[in-house]
Amino acid sequence: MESRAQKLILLGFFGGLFCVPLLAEWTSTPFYLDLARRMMILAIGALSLNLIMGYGGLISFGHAAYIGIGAYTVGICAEHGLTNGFIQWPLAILISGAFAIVFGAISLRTRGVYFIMITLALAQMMYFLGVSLDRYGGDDGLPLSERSNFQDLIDISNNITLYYLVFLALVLCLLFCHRLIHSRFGMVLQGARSNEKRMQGLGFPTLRYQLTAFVIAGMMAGFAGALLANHTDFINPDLMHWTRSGDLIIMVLLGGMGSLAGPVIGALVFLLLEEVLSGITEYWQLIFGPFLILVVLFARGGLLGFFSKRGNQGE
Amino acid sequence: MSEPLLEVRGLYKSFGGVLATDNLSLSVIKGTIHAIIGPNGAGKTTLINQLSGIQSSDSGRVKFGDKNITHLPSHKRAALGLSRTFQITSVFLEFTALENVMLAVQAQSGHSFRFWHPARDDESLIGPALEALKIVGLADRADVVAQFLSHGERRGLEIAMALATEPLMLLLDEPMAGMGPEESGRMVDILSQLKGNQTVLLVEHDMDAVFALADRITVLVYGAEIATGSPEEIRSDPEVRKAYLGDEWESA
Repeated sequence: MESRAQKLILLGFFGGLFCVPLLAEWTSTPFYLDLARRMMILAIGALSLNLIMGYGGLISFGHAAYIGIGAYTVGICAEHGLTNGFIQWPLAILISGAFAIVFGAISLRTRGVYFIMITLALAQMMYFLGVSLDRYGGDDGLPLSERSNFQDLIDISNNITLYYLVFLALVLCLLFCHRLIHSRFGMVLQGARSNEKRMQGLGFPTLRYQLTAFVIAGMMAGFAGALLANHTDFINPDLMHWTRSGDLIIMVLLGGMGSLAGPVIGALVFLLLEEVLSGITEYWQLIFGPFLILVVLFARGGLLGFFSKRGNQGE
Repeated sequence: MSEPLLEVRGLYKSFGGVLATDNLSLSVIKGTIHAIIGPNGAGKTTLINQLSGIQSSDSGRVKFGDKNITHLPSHKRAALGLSRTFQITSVFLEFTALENVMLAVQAQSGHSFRFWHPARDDESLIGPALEALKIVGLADRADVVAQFLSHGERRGLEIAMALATEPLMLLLDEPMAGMGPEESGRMVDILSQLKGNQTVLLVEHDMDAVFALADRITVLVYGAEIATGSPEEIRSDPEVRKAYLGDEWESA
């Protein structure tokens, strides 16, 4: 269970996010609309990574690949004139899931450092695949000819509409993850993180559950990718670069692995710091790095755990 | 005498040149507590690992009920009703005692690809879990996180978890390991509740416990069986006295 303090912090964040379009409009700074929308999309990515990393104990260093696959699915569809979002988005989720099945089946044969390295290698493979796709812009990427089209239901070519759609998506993903980790499935996943051998001793085929979690996380990241393609109106291989996977891990660590909402807060703080610090100096990572080390050293439950005075107790 | 539930025939296991299990044959009769004793390094834990599927056997055959389980992975053996505990306490430290046992209940109540309903409020998990905790005397410690339980309580929790899977047979690997006399006594009381209705293979160093609990005893030395029989037969077997019980037994 999330503590009361965590719920309040989260509610505050969402209240703030809800008001961003109004404030951006009022102060005519559309830039903040853009920033907040990007925050929420990456929050979905971090949330999905936390399912396997925080709750499954499987540190994937290649999670950005699925965001990239989702984004490329939308981009490639649009390039061929298929702009129907009802087709594009489910396709993005399914294709990410298909890749996650294969990559998960390979990488879950190992654990620990080997798992990290294999997920990293597979993701880099996808990055170089993106670079080599000359038909779709190769290294330079590909502008989205048109945003996903949801016919009469909703028009996301309007920036504020897209913003609230992303907002809704984040809330739904958070709700979904909340149900998931407290379900029987979630208990098995956390049990396997805590003591995999014991789980098998009890009769659980743990690998099957871990692979399922890996695929669900991949699909959710793919969904975030579909949103991201529409957000930037552009796709490029950099989406899948290993540093992006690293960013996701940092977001999860920063916000707190032990809690559901931690990665959401982590994504918001990460992008906010990046924005503010890079405005001060070009070498913003010089400040960000030590900050991250301090958080990891002194706030084991991440920022959320720190501010709600409740450490990582592996709920 | 009824039919054996577990039948081991000609089991071998070697590590490098060392034979840990040497042509071992063993029958555990349904409803009995069968103890395995032997000096350190006799291959007792290796045997439990082989029976539970954590280590593979070099040769030989293991039959459980009417199934040949020699080559099954451990989770399938557990699903068939062969449940084990570990010599080094192995529980889920971040979970409460109740949650630990609830996971065990969950393990035997069908697949867990259920993604929506909260498991912690599931009465069909809580009920049997509390029941198992009661047997080991931990009902009032149900909401304590396992890492804050005492060593003895964790050993009890292990037994509760094994029981909660409703096993046909329990493999207990030194349940009294690291316990003081008082805690051991309590564990003997817990296990004696199982006598007569639960099939148990018990590996244990504590001779008082073994002779108090066991219906049959097998003595292992260097992975080979040197005697099997009732506690009285083992007590008076000259081979056993020479090889193992020795001085310790003379003074008892």
